[in-house]
Amino acid sequence: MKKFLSMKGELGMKKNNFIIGLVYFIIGIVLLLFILLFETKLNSVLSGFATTGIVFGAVMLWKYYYWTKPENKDKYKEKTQNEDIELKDERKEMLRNKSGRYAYILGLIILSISIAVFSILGSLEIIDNSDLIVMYLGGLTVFQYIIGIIIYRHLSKKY
Amino acid sequence: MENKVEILRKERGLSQEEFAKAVRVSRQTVSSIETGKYNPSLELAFIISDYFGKAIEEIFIYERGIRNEKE
Repeated sequence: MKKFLSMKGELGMKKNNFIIGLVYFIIGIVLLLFILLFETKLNSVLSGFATTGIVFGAVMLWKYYYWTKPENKDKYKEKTQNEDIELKDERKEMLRNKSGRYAYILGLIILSISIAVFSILGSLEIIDNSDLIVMYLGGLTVFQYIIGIIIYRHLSKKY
Repeated sequence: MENKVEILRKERGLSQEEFAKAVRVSRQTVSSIETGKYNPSLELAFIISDYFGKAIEEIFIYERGIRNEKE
């Protein structure tokens, strides 16, 4: 691992970042030109995509330019090593797993409460189409519960 | 589980930051281990004991008595 990290640091930022940034930027520009030249119902959605592409691409290109400067080589090496430590830190990994577990349980509780609330609102005729919402929320609750069991069994076989 | 990480680290004149970098964990993890809030995995415990050149049981003290009493 140490060997890998030192190699990663020595190599600097990968050229992939430059290519991906450039692709995003070009897609953004193409979409912008399309919006300016043609008028369609999707223009508002496409303008969102165009802005995202241009901004995200420009940021990636700037980052590539900044971190590949010779004077920033050591800083980049330290930054990537720190990021790697933070990402693989076992305590932080445990905390991420635990917070995910709590978020999952809270999500299930909120979904169950929402089903009851929407059923009541529907029965009192405060909202329309409550059946559809209740069915969707019910399906989502069952899906979350079942997928939780499936993933658990899969991991149980693996470890 | 008690441990002697803080004592050994200070004996070597290392800051938490420096020690954390040496064993490739975050500074917060070192702090949590030292205060006993977090027990390291077996792998990390071995890495720490290797770093100090001591046996694992010389650094991490497993309190069998307390656990048995609880059970």
